[in-house]
Amino acid sequence: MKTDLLLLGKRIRMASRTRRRWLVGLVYAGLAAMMTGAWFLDHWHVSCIYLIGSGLVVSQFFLGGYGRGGLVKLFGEWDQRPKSMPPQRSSPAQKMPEGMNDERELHQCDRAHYQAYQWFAITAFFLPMYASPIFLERIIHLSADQIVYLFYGGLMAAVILLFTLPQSILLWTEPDMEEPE
Amino acid sequence: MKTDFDLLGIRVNITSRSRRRWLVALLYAGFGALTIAWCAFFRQTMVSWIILFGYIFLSKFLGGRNFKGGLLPPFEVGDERERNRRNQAFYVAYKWWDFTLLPALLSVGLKNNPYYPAWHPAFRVFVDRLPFGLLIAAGILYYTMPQTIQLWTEPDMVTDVDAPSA
Repeated sequence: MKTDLLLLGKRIRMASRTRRRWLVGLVYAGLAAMMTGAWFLDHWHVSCIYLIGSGLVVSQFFLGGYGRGGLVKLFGEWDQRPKSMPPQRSSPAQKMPEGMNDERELHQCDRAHYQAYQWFAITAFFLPMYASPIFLERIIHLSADQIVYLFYGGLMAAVILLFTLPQSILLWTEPDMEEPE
Repeated sequence: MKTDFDLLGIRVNITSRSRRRWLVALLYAGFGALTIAWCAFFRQTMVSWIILFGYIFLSKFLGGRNFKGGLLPPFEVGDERERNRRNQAFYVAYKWWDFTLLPALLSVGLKNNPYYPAWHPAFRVFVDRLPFGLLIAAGILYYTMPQTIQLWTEPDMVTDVDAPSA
């Protein structure tokens, strides 16, 4: 993980966990505000594309992981290794190239994906509701249009979270980092 | 991971990776058949409950999560190596799951558009049912993909019988 975030040519120190948590909070507050605004603008008809794009933009420039910018280094070094070979054990003293994850970071990345994956059980939990719209119509008294909006919004939020959640978990949980000398 | 399982009194050996891959293909064929039956014929009937139990039975057979006695042990059980392999399987599953949720979002988006009322009624019925099928598929993949990735990628296992004696 990087200790500095480069924003409009300015370096912002992000070594402390508190700062990283603020960043995650601000990112999700911004995304929620955008979703709310887009609902009032056009009921997510066209703005849906921009909202999903914003998830990718946030990954690229702030969180990292799925983009080369941002705080978390690019995920996916496992994929570049031959499938038949077990991961090589690197010594702590071995210096990794700039931007590459060492073995500890790769395990953290996998662990973050494991934790993020568990959160999507909420999405899977809502699936039976879609299977029986009668429940939503009669018990919660939603109209057919409202049901569609509910699922559209829910799925959109889930897709945005897919692009951002593992990095956010890493930024949220990683302890304070040492400042580079 | 289990090296064999019992199928109607017959012991099926799954130490080889190719056999496990066949098993994964068969399991997904089973899930697919159940989903098509549910979406096409039994959506609002009591048979859907039987189909639901079919899903649970297949998932229990697969193991993982909190299921004991399946092909894979529960996820929270195992040493560091097994946990690392589990996390790696989740990493791969996470990336592939994107591709199931995006079509589901697009299919709901088809309903949420101003031209929807003007479409041909038969196409509207298709558009109405499409999200249901895709979301069920996404749900099945969500609950099974990490386990099947482990079954698919784990190399051939060496059992006590195969191991050379000292």
